[in-house]
Amino acid sequence: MATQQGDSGTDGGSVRRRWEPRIERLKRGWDRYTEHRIGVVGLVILVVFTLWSIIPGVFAPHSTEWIAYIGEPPIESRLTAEQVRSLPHPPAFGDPFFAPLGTNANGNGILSLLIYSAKNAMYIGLAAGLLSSLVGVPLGLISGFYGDTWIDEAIQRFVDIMYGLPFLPFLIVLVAIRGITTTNIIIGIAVTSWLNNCITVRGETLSLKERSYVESAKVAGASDTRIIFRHIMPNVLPISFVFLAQDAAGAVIAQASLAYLGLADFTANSWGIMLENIKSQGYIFDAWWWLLPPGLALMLMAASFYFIGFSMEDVTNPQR
Amino acid sequence: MTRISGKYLAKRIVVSYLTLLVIMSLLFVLLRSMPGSFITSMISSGMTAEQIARIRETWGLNEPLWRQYLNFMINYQTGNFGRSPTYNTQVWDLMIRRMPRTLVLFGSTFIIGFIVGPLVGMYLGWWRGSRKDKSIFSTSLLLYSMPSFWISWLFIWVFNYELDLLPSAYMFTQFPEFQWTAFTVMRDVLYHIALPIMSLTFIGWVGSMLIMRPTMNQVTDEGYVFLARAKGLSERTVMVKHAARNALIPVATGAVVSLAFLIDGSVIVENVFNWPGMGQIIVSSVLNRDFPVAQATFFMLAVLVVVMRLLTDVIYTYLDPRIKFGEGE
Amino acid sequence: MTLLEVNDLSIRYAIDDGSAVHASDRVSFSVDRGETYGLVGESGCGKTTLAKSLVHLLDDNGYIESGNVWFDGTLPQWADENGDAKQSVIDDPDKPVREDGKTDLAALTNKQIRDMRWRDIAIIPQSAMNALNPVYKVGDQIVEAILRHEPQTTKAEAHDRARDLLERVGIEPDRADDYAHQFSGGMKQRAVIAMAMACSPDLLIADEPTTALDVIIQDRILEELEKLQDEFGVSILVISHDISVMAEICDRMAVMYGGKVMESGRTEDIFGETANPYTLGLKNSFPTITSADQDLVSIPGTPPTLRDPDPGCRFRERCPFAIEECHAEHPPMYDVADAESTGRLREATDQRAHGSACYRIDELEQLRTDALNEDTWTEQRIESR
Repeated sequence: MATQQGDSGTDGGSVRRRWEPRIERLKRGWDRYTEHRIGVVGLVILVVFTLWSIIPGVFAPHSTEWIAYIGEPPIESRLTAEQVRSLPHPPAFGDPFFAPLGTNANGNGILSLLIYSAKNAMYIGLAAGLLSSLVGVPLGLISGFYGDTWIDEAIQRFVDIMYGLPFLPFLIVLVAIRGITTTNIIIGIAVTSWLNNCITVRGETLSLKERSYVESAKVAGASDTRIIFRHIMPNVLPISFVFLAQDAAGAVIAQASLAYLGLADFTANSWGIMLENIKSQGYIFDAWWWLLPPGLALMLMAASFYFIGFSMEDVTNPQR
Repeated sequence: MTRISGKYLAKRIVVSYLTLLVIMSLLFVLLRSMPGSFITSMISSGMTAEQIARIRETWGLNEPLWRQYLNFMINYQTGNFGRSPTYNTQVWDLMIRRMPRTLVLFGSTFIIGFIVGPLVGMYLGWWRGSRKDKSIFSTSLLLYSMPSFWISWLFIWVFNYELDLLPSAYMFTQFPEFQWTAFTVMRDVLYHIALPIMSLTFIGWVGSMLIMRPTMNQVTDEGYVFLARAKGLSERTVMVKHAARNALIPVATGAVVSLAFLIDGSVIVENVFNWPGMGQIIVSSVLNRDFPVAQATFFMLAVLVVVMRLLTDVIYTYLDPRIKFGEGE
Repeated sequence: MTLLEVNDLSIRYAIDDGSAVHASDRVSFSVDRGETYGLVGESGCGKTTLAKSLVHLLDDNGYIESGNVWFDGTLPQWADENGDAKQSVIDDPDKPVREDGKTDLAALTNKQIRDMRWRDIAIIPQSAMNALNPVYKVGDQIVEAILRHEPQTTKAEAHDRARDLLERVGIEPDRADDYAHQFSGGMKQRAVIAMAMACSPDLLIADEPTTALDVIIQDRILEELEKLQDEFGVSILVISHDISVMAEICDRMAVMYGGKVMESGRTEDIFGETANPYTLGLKNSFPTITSADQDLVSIPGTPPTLRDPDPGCRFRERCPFAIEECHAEHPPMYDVADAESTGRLREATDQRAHGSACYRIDELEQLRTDALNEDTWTEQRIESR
């Protein structure tokens, strides 16, 4: 508004004026976000898991080396045959030991393992989600911006090829090639999961490209890079965040599936490995306290990513 | 009926074929980059160098890699998939036997998922924001977040271990007390496939729902939905005939994405239930470095995806009269 | 003879925070059989809401707060063989049917009104271009409407009628087998008009029938509407912001502002004997071909939001003639002829007569002269009052 521009002159005022609308927008977005109960629930779950990953010691009753009947390391005594037979032990509250979610076949406390494993899932989810967005979004932007040229064609054919490779088996091959470490699992997941981001961002870019403000930027002589990063990307970023959340959820599940197939980094604690152990040691139907918590934790972590992603989609959807 | 021109179809088939060639080449490179060779499992410590050399000779490993690659690509053109060292049989026979089993499991979940998903998505999108929508939507996201092997275990636990209603593994009863007739075979397979299908569809339908819900919600604002109401049509007719019919169009595109999700799911589920299909051997062959089998299974799944993509185009033109593939190219 | 009689109709949109948008506030007007009636006003003044509410087609959060919509026609199951309401229905106190056989549409349930939509009142929506479903043949969409309301018709008959209707609006009958995307913009508009006439309704609501079209096609569409009116004897309720279109086709009209009728009467009276500051301003802001060098003067400010509005005159914030009284209460409709002849304000008793909602229509001459002066409408002047 022309009338508003005349009356403030100080630098502080101009900075405030520049940031105020953004803060205002953020605030409005936050209000819209909190309208979604699942979005809030997702955030709460994620905060809990984050705390578990940063300060597991505060929440866990024992360390991961703790062994029922004996206690924390250093381990000096051995379990009696009778004690071994009682493992995996159902939840116990002080008698003969304290393990609210019972123990596994080795005598480790399930709750402690559960809490100490949050870090691994969180790391894999966020890193793989971020990586696959970093691959998929720029490729989608380029493909869409140069729509119907050879660049677009090439990227799309590449996407076609990747779609032809079944995700999980392909992931197994990739992980097998580079060795089973958490980092390689993350890279493998990222390499195989950027496709949806790329296709969606491309579609969005194709339609954004036709908008009048992009046209006018072109007429004004802006370079391609400037148009892509300055005019199109800010509009595509919101959906990219949505995809980041979904990819993170997918990565958490994929890592667990790999662990089920025996492809996990067994030096790290993870929910997938807890489930792999219950399978390989044959206690699936005998130890519900061991079967349910890791699965529920996986589900809740993936769901919290989905919840956040879909609530954000609604906030960023300009139509509503 | 469809408006796909012959020229377009021919072009698509050529492109699909080239895509398959690239996938195969990629696989050849990747599989051979894995540590360990596929004869490692055949070599025992007591073998002499000569014996090992003979094994290498038999499997064509002494030829240079480019030669092996050429042989591999040429053989695939003629349908010669080679022999499997671990299964000790022609890979082609293995495929012929296993592909239908996977298709039965996979096809039925695909069909069920693509009926249930869009249907639920239609209702949720139509009443988006209602309490029903919110609760069903968040529940379905929870389902979507479950690892498929874990939910399979839960189903086995309840329906097999606790209730003893359904078998938890294999495709047939191992030591049947009944005569094998066409009817009993069918019944036996259905009996065994029930749990795998349940586990897979339990989470598999959500994918298509997630696409249908927002598009359905978008079409509710369209002029033709308003006009359909103004014509005096019942809400049901407006929703199904006018809104949902249009919202289905993007779901067809998303089918390919859901397909990938379902393939992953069935790989896991086949392993959990010991279902003797492709998903089971694709994992074991990679882990055992049985390259002929691994290549063939990857190839068959890639063919499946490529064929599905072609099929999607046909369905697309049927769903949307505005689309004409192949004109104006 | 009156076809539609809207009395004190108030429509609101509920908002999440508990307030309500008063999209239409105690609006009254009536449409005669065979007549073209116009609702004119800026976008957001509630004219479309008003039209949609007649057949309960408001958005989910919209509802009729109070008022009646008396329509000369009734539900199929309440009608005798002539289409008039049965005596037993009129006598039934539970059924919203009046002595003279008119039905109160506002009191019908959604299920009931569905039987009257299209059969009695057809509506050409604002976005007629997007009103055809892209996945069905145009002819089939017309057939759908016919079969919905005349189930005894065979499919073949319905298809013949659809072709005939298309031909009447100047589209080749064979195009019935085409899809909407194969039609041009003007053809889509015609097809929707043909569809609207499918069940020979008594009232046709045309919401901005020409807005999205270029001028030549606009003219043809307007001619088409007039031709159909002669052929079918249908009454047309036109909604537009374009007063030049309205002047051309309407017999009578109402000028709306902020959910209120500001002025109503015969079209000649409204344009010739304008009696409301808002109408004066609106006239100023539209070009006329005949006076090429005329300066366009727009009304300063923006229309009110209508969210729980205060009781004063809706237009007073932008009105150069506002006085103390205007802040207290929105003026009632005064009879213009009466005010001009006697110089005194008397509330209008006849809906048909030229009426204006303004406290100052006793000084009309002065208002009209001032309104022509450009300075009157500058922002400062209004704000400095």
